[in-house]
Amino acid sequence: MMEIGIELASTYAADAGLSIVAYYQANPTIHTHGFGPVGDRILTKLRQTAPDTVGFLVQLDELSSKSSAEVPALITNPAAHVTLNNKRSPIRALELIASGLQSASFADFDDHLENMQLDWLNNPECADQDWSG
Amino acid sequence: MAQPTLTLSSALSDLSTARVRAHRDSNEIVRKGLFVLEQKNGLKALGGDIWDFLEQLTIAALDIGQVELADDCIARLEVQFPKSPRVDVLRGMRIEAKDLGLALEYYEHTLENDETNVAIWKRLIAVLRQQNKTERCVKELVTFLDTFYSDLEGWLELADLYASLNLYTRSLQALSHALLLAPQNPFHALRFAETAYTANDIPLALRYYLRTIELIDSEEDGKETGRRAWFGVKLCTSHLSRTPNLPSESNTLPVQGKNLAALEVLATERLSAAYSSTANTKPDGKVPGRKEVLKWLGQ
Repeated sequence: MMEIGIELASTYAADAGLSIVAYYQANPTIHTHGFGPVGDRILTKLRQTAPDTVGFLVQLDELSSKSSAEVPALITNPAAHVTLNNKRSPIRALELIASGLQSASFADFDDHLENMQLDWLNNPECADQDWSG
Repeated sequence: MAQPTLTLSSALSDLSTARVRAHRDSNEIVRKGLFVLEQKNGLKALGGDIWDFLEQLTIAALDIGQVELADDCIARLEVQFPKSPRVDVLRGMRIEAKDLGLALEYYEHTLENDETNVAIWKRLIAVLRQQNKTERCVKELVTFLDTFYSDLEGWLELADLYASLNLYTRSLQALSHALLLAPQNPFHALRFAETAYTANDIPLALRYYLRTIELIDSEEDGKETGRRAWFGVKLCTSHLSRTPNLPSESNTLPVQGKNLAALEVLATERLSAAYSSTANTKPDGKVPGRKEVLKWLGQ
């Protein structure tokens, strides 16, 4: 289903004049390292159409670390230097999650297959009203 | 989105349904469980279900890190059931929240006293998996299943473990055992299909996507599973149309010719219908993602 989700998201992005430029993944435990075979496969598929796609891996054990305040808990693939347009965006994402994004109707393609009324491509209720990009 | 107002009866009903269906929406369970605890006659209204409720609430609280709530529930259960193996499991899960190493020791010690304690053995396996001690985890799970062959959950866990290690053939073998134990369950057939697809065995995947659809009793009850299966059928038939002689590690003969074409047309029609159905539209009359799906279907 993930392959279909990627294709649908790519279609949505193209129609909206957007590009998929990155993929993020958070591993289930702090002991799980790397993107794993599924994550690697997703990156490979995305890079078929967008060779510069970046992979972001969220490091769970660093999320609560006070030393990671600036660009917390992310490692990138490829390891080459990546500059965020807004350096605060990872911290802002964490703030949103901490403030209860999980209780909002955040839906992915799997959720949409369970309930087709969920707008997984837009997730309008989860839009950051304070985001200035 | 504003949540509907809770009442004691609705909370109790939802929690009971979640127990019966083994749903683990932990945030919701804790929200409703706390509501019940706060009501004047909340616990009394549970009647004989109070202990199952406390067990459910303990697990949900641990899931979302509310350890104080979990401690409160475990304390009540310990008073009522001082030597209960089920409470032993909850105690172990509470230790897991603090220290996986200690939890492992606790489970190993408990098993020394009773090596047939299935629930504790499963928690030990779960801890090994959390610790990424994969080799030992697989070994324990295989030994467990040699002893308790009919444990469906165990076979599904083994399948998931193998899949996480990219060992899809072994994952399919484990799922085969699950299908032997529950041959009429469309969810397991779907999982088999999806694993076969991930393993690039498209002919096998197509066969099991179709089996999933065949197993769905009622179109209403199985519509979500059916949708996934039809997406799978469309994906597989598209691949086979482009490359008729795709290899199959399982030596499954691929569907070809007019049967393949007919299946692709049918999948397209089923998915188009789903994305055009008024049952799936939002209040604004649209089905989210419809345009993208129709484009993907080639319409």
